[in-house]
Amino acid sequence: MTAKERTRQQLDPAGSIGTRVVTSVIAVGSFVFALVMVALNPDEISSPVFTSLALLASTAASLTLVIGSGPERAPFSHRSFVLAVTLGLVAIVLSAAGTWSTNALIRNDWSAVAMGVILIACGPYRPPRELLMGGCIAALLVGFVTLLEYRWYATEAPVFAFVVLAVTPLLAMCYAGVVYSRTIVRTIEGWQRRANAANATLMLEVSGGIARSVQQDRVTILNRDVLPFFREVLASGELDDDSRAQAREISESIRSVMVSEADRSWLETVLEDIGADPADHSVEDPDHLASGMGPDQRTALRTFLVALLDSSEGTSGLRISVERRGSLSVLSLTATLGSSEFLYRLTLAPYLAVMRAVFRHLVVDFTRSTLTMEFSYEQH
Amino acid sequence: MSLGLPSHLAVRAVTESFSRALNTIGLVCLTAALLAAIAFQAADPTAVLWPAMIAITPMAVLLLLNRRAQTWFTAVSYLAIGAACTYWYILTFYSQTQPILVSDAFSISSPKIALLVVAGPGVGLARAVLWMISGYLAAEIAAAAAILQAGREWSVDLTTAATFLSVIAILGLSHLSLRRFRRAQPLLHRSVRDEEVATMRYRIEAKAAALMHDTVLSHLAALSSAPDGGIDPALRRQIGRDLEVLIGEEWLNDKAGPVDGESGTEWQNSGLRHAIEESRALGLEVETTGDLAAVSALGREASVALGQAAKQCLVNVLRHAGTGRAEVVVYGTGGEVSVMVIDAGKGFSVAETGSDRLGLRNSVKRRIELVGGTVQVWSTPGHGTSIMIRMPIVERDSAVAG
Repeated sequence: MTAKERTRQQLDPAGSIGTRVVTSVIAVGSFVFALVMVALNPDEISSPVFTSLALLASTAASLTLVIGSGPERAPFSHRSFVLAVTLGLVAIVLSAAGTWSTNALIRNDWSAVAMGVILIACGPYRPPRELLMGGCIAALLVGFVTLLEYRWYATEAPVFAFVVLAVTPLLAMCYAGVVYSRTIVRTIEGWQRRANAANATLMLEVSGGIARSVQQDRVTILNRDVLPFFREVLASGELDDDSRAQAREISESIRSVMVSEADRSWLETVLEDIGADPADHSVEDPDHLASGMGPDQRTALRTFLVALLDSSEGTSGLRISVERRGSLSVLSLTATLGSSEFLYRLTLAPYLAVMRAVFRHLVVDFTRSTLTMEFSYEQH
Repeated sequence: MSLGLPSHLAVRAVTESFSRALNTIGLVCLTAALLAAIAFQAADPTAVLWPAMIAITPMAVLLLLNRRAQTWFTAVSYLAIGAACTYWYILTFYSQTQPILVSDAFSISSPKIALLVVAGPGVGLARAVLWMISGYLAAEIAAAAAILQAGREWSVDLTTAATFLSVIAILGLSHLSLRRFRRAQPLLHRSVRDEEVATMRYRIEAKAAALMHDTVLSHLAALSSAPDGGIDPALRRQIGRDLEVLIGEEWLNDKAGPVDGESGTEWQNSGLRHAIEESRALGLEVETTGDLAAVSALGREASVALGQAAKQCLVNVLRHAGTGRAEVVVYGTGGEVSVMVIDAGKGFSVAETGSDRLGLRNSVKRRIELVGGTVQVWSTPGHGTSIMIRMPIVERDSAVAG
């Protein structure tokens, strides 16, 4: 598992799926805004080629946001962020080149606003420090471009005022993104701390009950053969061939149960816990690699399996295998879908988002009424 | 662990995060408005722009107060006094000479946007939108009043209107997008608890299996290979004692071990020393070397597990290695304690070890893994066996989940 970043998407993956819609609308809005500003101010364009390229770069930045924020590609990576910001910076430079010597009104400069939009849209996906860094770099560039273009502005005003005006929307949206990211991360982490503390208390309360239940199970087994045998042997104080044979027989019987328990994969235990039909699923985990998942990973997979096997959907033929590939363990899963693929995609989307937040290289495919899934993880 | 916010907290979290983000936009806009006024004043010392600078101050103070307290009083005060300040700011700019008047963007938009992004008390979309509409109206009324009083022509401020509509749209979408996927949260949170219970049960079952192996299977093996006649008194005592433990209440309690009280991790009272002493009592010659005191760095549970695992290693030497001697080497480094159990017995092929070798599997490996340690085995037929147990040093009395 990769180190979890402190972002809303990583800390609340299921709840963050909806932010993709917001991100997409913001990205489309940014594109439309740029287009409208260019269309309304044709007099300010000195080089249509550069202006077109600037629009193209800005559109590519918006597309990077829309594609990168998709739940199927979660989490939104540092690389996608750097790409989007770089494209935004390129758009600023190309836009300035497109209006070189004819830029009359600074309030028509759309590229700095588009850059701010990228930064605020990344609020749910990237940590505050990255957003701040992106904003500062962009503000320096916008300020520098303003200094270069100052001489052509129609309005007579101090150059510093123009710089302030140029960077204000960019910095306002950047800081808003930073504050949004920081506040929601703190809220989620605060809740998690409280939930963990409550869970720990609960676990303390139930641990006694679990221990007693395990003890009762073992005592029941012991009472059947072992304790009567030991009592008999201790009472007589003598050993003969019969008692030795009985000792070997009991030992073999207990040993075989213990070996079968020790051979049991964590996956088999989970499927039994959630009431899966034993005749309709198979697990191949000869090296017990499933138990090497971390607590978050086990929880995410357990939840996904519960959702997948929800009886109302009629999933059947679940096959899971785990194998080692290099330093990673790889889990492969197939299942026959009981209803439409679209319904499954919709139902499983939040659980897959959680899976993507905790596992590497998760690949999911819904085709011909079959779900195929594969992901990898490091042994803990 | 916990995966995400429950539904009832999600709306509050989004509302609060948005409020803070909007407040930040307001602060940046007020700073920009102040800096613009300073820039114009510096460029034209004859202009009278200091009232605009002063107008920004109470607005900024109230914005910060509202950010901190966010009550009806602070929000309404910000709206009322902010509207007056905006009026004052715009009037100051519009009362100046021509160069300043044509630059509408400097004089109007910044304080107006700062006013419309007001965030008042309450949770949910409707409240947030109502506060913003109030802010927008207050800003527009203040601006119109200032422009008309200055005898200028009023026109729609597209920048502020576009900002207002964009923020409302984003806010609305953010709240609506929450609803669709919140249904997954109850299942996630139930799974968190189920998995924790399952993990706890697994740990207890593993302990039980290791204890069962160390006691019942061990005694059955001893009995099945004992000669005819009377049972060895030491074995009888041991069986009797173990039976008491097995049917008693403290079977799976951590305190049921050879380690004593608070000083349980000191060498003299450590699980490892008890294991060595018990193995010597069974007839094994055990030589100890290295930094024995290093085990005192282990927590109580780890010390107990180490002792039980080492005991099983030593019992294995006695039973399977064909030698009556073993060496236990202890050494501690910065973050871990390592214990090596070495014998020069007949050894075995590690790769060919059957899955039914429960001693090494349950009583050594799994037991150590449950407290966060690792076990490595090196053995070659005819060349003895070395088992390395490495235990991380963690805070005392804290168990490490396996």
